[in-house]
Amino acid sequence: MMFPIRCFSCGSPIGDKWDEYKSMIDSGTEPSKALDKLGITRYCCRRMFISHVDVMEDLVKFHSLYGTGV
Amino acid sequence: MELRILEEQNNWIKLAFTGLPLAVYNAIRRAILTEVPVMAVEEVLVIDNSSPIMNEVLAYRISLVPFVTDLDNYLLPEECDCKSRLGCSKCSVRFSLKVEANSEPLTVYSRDIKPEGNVGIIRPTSDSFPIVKLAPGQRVELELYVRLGKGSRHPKWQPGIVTVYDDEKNGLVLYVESFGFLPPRRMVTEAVKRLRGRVIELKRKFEEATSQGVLNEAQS
Repeated sequence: MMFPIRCFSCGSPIGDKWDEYKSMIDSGTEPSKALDKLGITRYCCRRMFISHVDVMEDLVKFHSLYGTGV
Repeated sequence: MELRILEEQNNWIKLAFTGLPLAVYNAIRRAILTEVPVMAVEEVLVIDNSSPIMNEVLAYRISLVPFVTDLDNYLLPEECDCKSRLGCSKCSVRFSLKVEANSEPLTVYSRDIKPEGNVGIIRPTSDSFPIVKLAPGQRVELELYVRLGKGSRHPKWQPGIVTVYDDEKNGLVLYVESFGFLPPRRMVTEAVKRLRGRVIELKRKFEEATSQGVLNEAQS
């Protein structure tokens, strides 16, 4: 779905760093370097970023094309 | 006993107390995790939600957003005498979230959470928590009630991360990291204050029991 607000394991708020992470990755930065720059030090939080799949993007694309059905 | 601040930054602090037993370090650690109250959204009124996310999932995401906490001017709901579900001006702060996507898809962020009236320093700790994405024509309209709470009731109210470890150079070290609700120094002082209250309460109860002879009866 969407990127989680908090890390599943330690509860640290990480959601606010997602947009910055994504733009860094899109401009070709290595994920490990991007996470270091964002100050994400624990591996529980780091895996949240590198393993995330944004299904929300596809849902919004679908709703944009076919309407909300409501 | 001597307290040394080994290292300090905006969101974390490393402390060492000389001669303090490990058990007391651990008591402080646990008091920070479960006893120090901080603010998060506790009640959500859904007025409109046509987003791809269900009401309860949307409310859950919003509830995890940490809020900068005003401990001095607000009471815990259980300590407030209004006993109302949505609270009164002493124990509850009202925010609203009202966003509609017109012709382009739109992401709703924590910066869209707007205070209702004067709320002082209380606000989401960051402006850029993504909450939900809307397709054209979809909208959300919510009323949010932010209240104080303790980590023992729900982890959304856990003020941060605390660890105690043995450092070769400094002996036992208390590492306190804040999630943004409160400054780390305040987390420690607040935890110690609450621990002290508990010890005093225990002493009072003990004296009450001994003066009534309850302990003597139990012995015989």
